[in-house]
Amino acid sequence: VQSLSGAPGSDQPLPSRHLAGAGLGAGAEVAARKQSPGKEALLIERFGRTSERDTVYLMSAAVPQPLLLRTLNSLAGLMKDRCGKELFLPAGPLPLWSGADGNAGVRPKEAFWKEIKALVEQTRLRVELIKKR
Amino acid sequence: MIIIFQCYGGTHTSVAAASIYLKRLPRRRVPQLSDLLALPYFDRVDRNEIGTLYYVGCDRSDNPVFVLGSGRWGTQIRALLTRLTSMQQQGRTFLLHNDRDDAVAVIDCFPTITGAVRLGGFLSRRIGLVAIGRPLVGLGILRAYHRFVELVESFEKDPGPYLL
Repeated sequence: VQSLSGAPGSDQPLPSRHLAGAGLGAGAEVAARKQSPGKEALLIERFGRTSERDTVYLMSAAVPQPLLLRTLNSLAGLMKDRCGKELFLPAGPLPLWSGADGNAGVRPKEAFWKEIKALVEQTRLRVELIKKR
Repeated sequence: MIIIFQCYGGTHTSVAAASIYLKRLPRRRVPQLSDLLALPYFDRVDRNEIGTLYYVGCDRSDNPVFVLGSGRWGTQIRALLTRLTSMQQQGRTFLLHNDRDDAVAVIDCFPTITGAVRLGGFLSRRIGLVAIGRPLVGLGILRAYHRFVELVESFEKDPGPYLL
């Protein structure tokens, strides 16, 4: 199973710069590429492998999260239909922290981090479920 | 080959073009409005479903054909598909993970959109005035029907520019 987005195993809060831009994306090691305004922003980076040899990718795209997630889920479903097994799992989207640029409406960091941990745990469970099938 | 017809909402121009490609609509004449409105998915995909791939059938070579709405983010979604097509994983790419698949073609139907299609689509899908919007978008497509046939024939003649 290839996981797009999410960073299982990471124990530290993510620096806010890694969450720049809309869409999926987060990471502790990969620096987000700064996109100039108007330029298509798409980042897909191989993040690493889990202990169970699943590959984790990080993704960020200048596309609304629900639309992006529907497209990724459709593609995952298409691949499952054609290959008979689930090859990748779109995990996310991660929440955006509006305080990344010091704007008003900053959420408490703890609440933000809780959401990320919940997403990681949810992803872990989904992967387990896929492997049990 | 995986064939994807892409437009704004994935419910009007992409469905019409895909139906022409699949020979569900004629090429030598303009179909009746009722034929168009009876197509599966035609003016039936809601805004909150944009981004979902809908399977519409297989062509004669057994290639699966899909329609996809990408809203204003057609370029970005195309870039995403391109990236996933080129990303290698265990010697194969993400999207082409099947021996039968050798390529992904995305046919952008935006150039076929006319004012009537845009207005009809807005009335039907955005405001919910289906009784007015649906026939209007259908008539808009029929008035520019030759553009759809040209787009489909252009793809059939040379799929190269449409491949990711």
